Amino acid sequence: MKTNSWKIRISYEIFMLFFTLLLAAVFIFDCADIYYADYAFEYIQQKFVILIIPFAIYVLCIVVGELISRLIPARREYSPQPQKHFSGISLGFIAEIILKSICALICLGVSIFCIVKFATFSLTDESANVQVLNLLKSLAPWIILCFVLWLVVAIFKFPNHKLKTRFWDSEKFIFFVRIFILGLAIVLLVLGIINGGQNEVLAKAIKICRECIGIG
Amino acid sequence: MQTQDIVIWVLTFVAIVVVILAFGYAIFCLFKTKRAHKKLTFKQWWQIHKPTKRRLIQIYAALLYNINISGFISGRIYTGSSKLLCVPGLNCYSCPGAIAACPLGALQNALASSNKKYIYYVFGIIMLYGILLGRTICGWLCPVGLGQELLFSIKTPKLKKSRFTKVLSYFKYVVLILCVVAIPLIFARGGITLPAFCKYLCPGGTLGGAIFLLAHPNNASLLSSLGLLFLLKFSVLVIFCAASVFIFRFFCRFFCPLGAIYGLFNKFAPIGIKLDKSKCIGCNRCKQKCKMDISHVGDHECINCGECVACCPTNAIKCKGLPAEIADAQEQPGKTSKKKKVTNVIIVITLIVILIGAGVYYNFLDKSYLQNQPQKVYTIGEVCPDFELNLLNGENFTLSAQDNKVIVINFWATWCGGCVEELPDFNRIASDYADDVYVLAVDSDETREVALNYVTSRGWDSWAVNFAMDNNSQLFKMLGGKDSLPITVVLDLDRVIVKQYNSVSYQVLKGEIESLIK
Repeated sequence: MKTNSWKIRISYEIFMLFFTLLLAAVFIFDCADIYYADYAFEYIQQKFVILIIPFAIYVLCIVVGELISRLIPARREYSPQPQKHFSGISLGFIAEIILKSICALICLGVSIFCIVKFATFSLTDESANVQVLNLLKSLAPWIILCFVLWLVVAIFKFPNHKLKTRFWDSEKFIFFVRIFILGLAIVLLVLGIINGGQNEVLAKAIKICRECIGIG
Repeated sequence: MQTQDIVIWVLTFVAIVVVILAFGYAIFCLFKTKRAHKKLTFKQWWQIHKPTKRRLIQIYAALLYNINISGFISGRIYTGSSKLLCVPGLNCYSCPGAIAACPLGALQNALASSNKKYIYYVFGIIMLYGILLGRTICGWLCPVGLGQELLFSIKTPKLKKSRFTKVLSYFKYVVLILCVVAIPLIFARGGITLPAFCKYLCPGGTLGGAIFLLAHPNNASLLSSLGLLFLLKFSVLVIFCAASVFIFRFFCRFFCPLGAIYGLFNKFAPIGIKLDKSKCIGCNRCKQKCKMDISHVGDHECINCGECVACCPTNAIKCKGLPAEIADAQEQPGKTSKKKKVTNVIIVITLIVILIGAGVYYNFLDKSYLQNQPQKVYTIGEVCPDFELNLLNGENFTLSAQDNKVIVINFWATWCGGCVEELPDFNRIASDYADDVYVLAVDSDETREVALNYVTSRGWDSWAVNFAMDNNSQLFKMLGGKDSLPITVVLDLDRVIVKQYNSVSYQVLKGEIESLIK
């Protein structure tokens, strides 16, 4: 039986996935910066300070999420449709539904915003690493906002673990993910062909870099 | 021939013999029969030892990926346009028979490239293969997997899977993040292309690429390039081959980043193996039968080989994505068998026609390697003809205008890590012998904008080396360049080609120049 809070759980996990990927990317780029700065101590300090805040938030997200799931059990199961008896519908129930729907919409909106921003960035000619870091820094506050909203709403309800398992195994979920990834793959392929990526693959495949295949 | 060359030649020969013997013995083991009290007829023997459909498809895929047999004969890699595609499995582009690129090599080069938009195409291809087939590619379409399974069939004690191997199976994700993603990205910020997995680990590249190229007499000059890196990779290959005899799919389970990527899609791919939980009684026979480190059938470790299907007592394991007739036939073997037979025959004939067609096309009809061939290729001892090149600083270079100077021509490319690493040595030569030597660094593989951006971003435009562009690689081919980079050609004061190097160090080049100047 699907519940709204179970959907919010999924939103949380999608959010954590984005957050993880962004943080990993920032971390890798900062490591590279440190490497090419010849491990200058002041530079390491500066990078550490910049990185520690999002990393701390990330750890906090995980810890708080897990604590909530253990300390605040599910209060009641929601049916997919509200009860038809007029007296059975409470204002609190309606408010909860509305709040969770708003949260889900915001999560979806932030995800779309991130995708559009990345696409816009990708279609420009500028490709400096600074641009990438600025992109990541501009997206980070939105992701944090999204998470905070989810956290507030999730306090009302946290889904049953068995529901989550059923959701991950459901045919509908698998179908939608399959369609989404297939669509994304086709979009990336078309974008790549427009940008001439296939010529780059060809150029590198017809001339051997000997060291790259171990002859050296 | 120096002692080092002899040792490496012998090592290579021994390695090829050992690998061929191992594969031959593995194939022999597949067909060996324990003689019963009466002799078996051929039909009975064939029933026992006929290869499975999966094995046939694996062999077919390996043949199709490397159908350019003329490449093995000539010692040259294929340079046609089909190399803009990637094969689904692990098959090195440097194998003389390879007709397409490797997805893992393409991914690393894309991550290391200065052109960030290059990556969309590679991501798109890998995601497409992943979402359509998942790890069915590993179990059915990967030549490296085939090789490991053949080695595993050698009759020796085997190491069974355990909790330790289950934990170790996650190491391939570490290899993916470190060698395929992080290291190329990090080194790319310094302008160096370093596909770490290809360079240090990939057994497909060592066997299919390096050894097959080195084994050909036409590539004898490559032997002088061999050093510690090749010894390392060769040792890694031997370890993988030896371990695969005792451990099922040793490389696939613990090291393959491509399997790690496809495993993420395994659950969502429409083709593969799935478990019907309503019929499953939890006997775990499927897990016991499976030699991979699965938690359940169809998870990220499952290579969809289908060996667990027959052992399920409740028929809970099924193949995803089958047409209804075949799915019905699985449950009711007698039903629609005629239709199934006809379908099978049509499929087999189509596949054979494709294979033969590809073989004929790539070996006899495709003449793409003949495009832009120079009228003559000049070798050591011949006088280099006059040529003109455009320099990156806007000037022109004419060979005949350089009087009383030794000319050193180095062919390089921005994507070639080895080339970029040795260019500073050429700058030292150009600075130390500025009055006697003219050093030319020729990019014959890319556009002027790419080369100029790269040189400018690294501050090389103030160097003593002169950077030039070679249209359509004409000069490169004219001076004997074939398929690989870097190459350095040295012309003496009379414009005679005196030396041709693959990779060269500062000391060696210095010695050569000093002998020419005297």
